[in-house]
Amino acid sequence: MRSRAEIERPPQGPPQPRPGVRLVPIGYRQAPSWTGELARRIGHVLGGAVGIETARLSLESALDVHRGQYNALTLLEGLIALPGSERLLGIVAGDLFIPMLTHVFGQAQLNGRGAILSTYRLDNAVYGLAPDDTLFAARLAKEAIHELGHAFGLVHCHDPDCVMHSSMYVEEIDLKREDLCSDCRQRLSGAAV
Amino acid sequence: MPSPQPRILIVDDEAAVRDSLRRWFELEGYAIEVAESGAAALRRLQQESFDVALVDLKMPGMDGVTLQHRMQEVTPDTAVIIVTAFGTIQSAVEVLKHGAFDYLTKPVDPDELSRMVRRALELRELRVQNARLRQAVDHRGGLVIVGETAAMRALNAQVEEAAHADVPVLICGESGTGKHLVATALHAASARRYFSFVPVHCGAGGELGDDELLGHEGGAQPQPQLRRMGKLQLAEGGTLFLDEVGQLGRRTQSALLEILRSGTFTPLGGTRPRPADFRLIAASSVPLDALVEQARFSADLYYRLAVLTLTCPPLRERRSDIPLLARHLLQRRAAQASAPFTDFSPGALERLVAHDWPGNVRELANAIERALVVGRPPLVGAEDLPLGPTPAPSHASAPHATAADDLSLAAVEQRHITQVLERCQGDRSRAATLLGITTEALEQKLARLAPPAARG
Repeated sequence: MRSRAEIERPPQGPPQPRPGVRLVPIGYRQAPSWTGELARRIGHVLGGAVGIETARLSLESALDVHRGQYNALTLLEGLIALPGSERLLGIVAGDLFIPMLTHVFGQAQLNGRGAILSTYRLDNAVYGLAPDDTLFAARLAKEAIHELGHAFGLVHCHDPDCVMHSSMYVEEIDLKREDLCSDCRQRLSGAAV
Repeated sequence: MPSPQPRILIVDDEAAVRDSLRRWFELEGYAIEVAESGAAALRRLQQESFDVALVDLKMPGMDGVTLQHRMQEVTPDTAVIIVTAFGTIQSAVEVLKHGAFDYLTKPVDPDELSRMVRRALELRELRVQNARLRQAVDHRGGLVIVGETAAMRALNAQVEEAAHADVPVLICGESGTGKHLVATALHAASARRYFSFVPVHCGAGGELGDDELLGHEGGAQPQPQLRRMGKLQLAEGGTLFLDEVGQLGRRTQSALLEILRSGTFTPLGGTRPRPADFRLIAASSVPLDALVEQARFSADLYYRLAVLTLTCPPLRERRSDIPLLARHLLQRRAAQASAPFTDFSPGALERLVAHDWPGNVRELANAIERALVVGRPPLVGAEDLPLGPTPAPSHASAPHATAADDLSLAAVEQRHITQVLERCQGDRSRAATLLGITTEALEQKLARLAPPAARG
């Protein structure tokens, strides 16, 4: 079991260069204002270049009109059809689901190319609370790193502080740190790329 | 040691559901397999085992209910979670009655799904642990009492037979002959072995407190009292072992008799009687029938205790077992103390066999333990066993030849008391028990019978 001190020590030096990541906003007329800051935060934790995709993808085919939600698996299929070799993180404003589950914050291919993330349940407004841009940006960064972590081969972590810890509620996202624990960082370094 | 990756089988005819659940659980770090039908699931289950199976209720061909029934036969340890849509909950309840772990209704809250699978895995782990513990307890059920003489072989056979008969057993034998061990072996080989073995030594004060025996339900009268479980409650489902039952006071004898008669008992402060669900094993180093004759033990209780009677022979009556038993004790004690002793010297063995062992196996064990402290490995020598001169066998009732001249009752009594005291190595409390009198009475007799020379 890791000691608390070990868990809380600062990130261990500059991360090794990794294959690039491309952020793919889906359903937006133009790239949202937070994409630049999000790219910086992802790069800080995962390393490697983080770019922003300009090609537009359609949301329509993924919409389930009965549920009023978007099918994450359909979106993933469209996402990974994009050319290139970088890991892709699709970001949508609408609520996501996968068959069987009521909703998901995001979905990823384990050790695959694509991951998808919804900003819908990260926003305080959904819970009737006052908007908080700082909190929203932190939640977005944590969930983006989390889903990309899966794409880089990481599974859920038992360490509640680790960004790879599974979060079922937005409060749980707030509790974890915007960083990998030492175990996950080690696994990431050793993961095939 | 890290636990192996939990294995989950997803059975659903919809490819989208199989795919989404597989992806979802893979991110949790589980090993996932999928099957598109009940038949395909059974084929997989014949090849490999799974910790949890998520089974769709409505499937073409074999439905979830039939599959769950078949899984009970093929792989009963797999926890089955049935997945159903609203409107078919009645069917889900039906499968719960047939052993499914739980059911979920579509669409499932991700938190609920994760928690349910975690609980199912915990249950599976507990079942595995339980099986391991049962195996360990079953292994202890093979407990045997060391000895190869005819008497000990007969005793082992009697223990084996008596263990399976759920009736009271009375174990007789001198102090230190292994009555407690026999009681433990009876419990460990019985159907009650998964419940508690509760030993109660009746020698301390003669009477057991009501709250100690019956327990207390708690309450405020006459003074605030915490709830306390009595020995009978602690032994529920298991075995109550009353050691030195002959020393039980009359009041406790009556209470116990009433419990055995009625098959119930009521804890102090309680209003409703509880069933007395325990097996009673009693032991006595004093012949209980003699105590009954002296009206010191309830005849009714005696007959209820002595449904089956086993007798542990004294060590001096199975001398040929002494080398075997001594080596067994030496190995066990040496291993516990990490002492490199391997055996006894021939002289030591001779000495062990020649000694009368009035304290029986307990005395032998103590002598060996002392030898491990004072002796030099690897062999225990005769000099490491400072056994006193072998006292005259106490079971010999003939008076000493030298004292045969004086046949007065007082002289015979004095000689008998002296013999018993020698046998007990001067322990007056134990001698009093063997003589069937109180320690105070023995003290009075010793004071009265002491020869003038002893009075100084």
